[in-house]
Amino acid sequence: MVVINNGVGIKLVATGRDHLPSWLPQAICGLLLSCGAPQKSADKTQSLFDSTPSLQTIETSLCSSIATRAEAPTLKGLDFDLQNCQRAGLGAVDFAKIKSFVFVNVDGTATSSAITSELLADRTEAKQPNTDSTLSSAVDEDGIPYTNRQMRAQVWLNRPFLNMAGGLTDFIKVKQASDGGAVAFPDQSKSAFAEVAKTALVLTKAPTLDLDGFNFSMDMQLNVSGLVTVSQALKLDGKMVDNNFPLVIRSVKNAPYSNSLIRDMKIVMLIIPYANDVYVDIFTDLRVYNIGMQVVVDQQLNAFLGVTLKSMLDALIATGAK
Amino acid sequence: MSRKITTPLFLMIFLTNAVACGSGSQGTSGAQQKREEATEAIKFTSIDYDPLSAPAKVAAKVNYAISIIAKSGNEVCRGTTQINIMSNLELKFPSGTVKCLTLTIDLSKILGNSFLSANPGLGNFTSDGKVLYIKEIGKATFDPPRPFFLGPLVQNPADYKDFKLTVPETVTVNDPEANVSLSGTGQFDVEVLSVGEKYSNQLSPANKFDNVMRWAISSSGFDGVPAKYGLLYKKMEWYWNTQPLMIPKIVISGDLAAFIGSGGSGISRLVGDVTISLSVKDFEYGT
Repeated sequence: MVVINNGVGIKLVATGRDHLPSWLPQAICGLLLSCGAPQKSADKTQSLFDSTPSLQTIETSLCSSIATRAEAPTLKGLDFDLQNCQRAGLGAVDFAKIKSFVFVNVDGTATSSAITSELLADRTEAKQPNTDSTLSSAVDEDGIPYTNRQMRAQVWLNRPFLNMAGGLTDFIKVKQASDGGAVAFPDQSKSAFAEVAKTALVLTKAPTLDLDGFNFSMDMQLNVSGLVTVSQALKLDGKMVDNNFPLVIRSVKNAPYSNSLIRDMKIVMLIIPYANDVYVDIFTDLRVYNIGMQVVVDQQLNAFLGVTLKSMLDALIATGAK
Repeated sequence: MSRKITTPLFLMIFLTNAVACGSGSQGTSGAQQKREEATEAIKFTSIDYDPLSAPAKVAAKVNYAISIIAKSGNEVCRGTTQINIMSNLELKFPSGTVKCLTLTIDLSKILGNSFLSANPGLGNFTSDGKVLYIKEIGKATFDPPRPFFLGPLVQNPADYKDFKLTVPETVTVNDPEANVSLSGTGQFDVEVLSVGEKYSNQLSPANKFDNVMRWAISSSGFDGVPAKYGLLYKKMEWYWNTQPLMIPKIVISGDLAAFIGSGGSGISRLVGDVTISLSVKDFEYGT
């Protein structure tokens, strides 16, 4: 039996009769490479001796990486500017205490939403001119106008990273075995939208997992039926980057209005273990068809997205807790 | 097993790395302090934010011409009223009741707004993708939930062509204040009369609607249950412009006298079925 203690109470235990398992060196290398100085920049190396980097420092670095890297997950070519992920954590709420995500602008300032502005009223940022989350409008091939909307939600999960990552990897394992299939949302029936908008997310094939780079990929189909119809073929890419976990979800193609209120979407989720907690910063970029009464779409979509994203994260955490 | 590593192992490596290199070296209290430093101060830790309870905004202000036609077919009066279509699709009436000559009409109750306000929340509704159903309207409870609206977002009108639906219903009314407790059976018939219709009127010739879906909900039966409970009107007909969303015309017919007051003798002419017609004059979308 071989025991490797990483110094923080986590032990890797391997057993074998005649020889060490061949994966052990890779595990050890993984530990060394991810913790050692060779991958760190000078300022980060310095911080090992002074203090851990600030949340903003970590997120800015991750943000830069996701914007420029050539391989997935990347925003390269997707026309989605995360604006350097500034104001990291300033709009963050405790996940366990919210019913829905609270959205701020991509640059971290308060939105023009009365609710959010009220929540942020005592913050300096709230007194700054708001950035309109509506960036541009255009017309599709059928002459239907659509509007670009960007939002951002920040949460602290109030739990160790183990739960989150455990849920994710368990999920991948199950879906690999079943060659994809529907994603269950255990609490969907409790959602306020349960009777009026049914959400279905299906992995259209088995997720892939590349152990060399700790990255994975999923092809998904998102369908919403009820008050609105949404149909989106999505691609999800995730990878461990400097001990953090960025995910990029993007539409594979544009959907026509007759099939989907959302023309296309991009979601960037930055999962950062920090201070014995997990910080999640979620950037969304949606192109939404304009039905005329845009505030109807704004309010209902914000509510739906806020509740749905939370239920998805709830489901993931619940899986990890089992 | 030289290259094959199972998912649990991947998890083990990944988690170990994350914990070892993340925050694991900090104690809990130190970590909390670090987190608070990172965010300057956590000010939103007890947010009880429910987006579904967010105040609705005005999605559109619409001025309608209103016309009341008695059972005889004679027009009793004409007037105007403003209806605000809210972001939660509630209809609001800034002027309260509508005056039409000597008549005072409580349109908010006729269109269900006041009743809906008593049963707020999405939990009162169900949707099958085409029809929005409602469980309770004021003091009336429907079993099963009654058809209330089509859509309301109609993304593919072709799906509704020739659509018809009949729903047998039991309505139960419990109104202790009025000492009313009764029930009745009947049915609602939903019918799409046309899709892709064009609509304009002489009041606003510049406003042309090219994507109107016209549909009606009729009720029958419910003997002994006053129409004011549960909007049991003979017929409600909606002209619904699907893109961009607008309601250019609404026609309601039935026993509406309970919603109409009179400063003179006009009310006596409104016995039996009355038709109230609302036609758009002008409108503006909210931002």
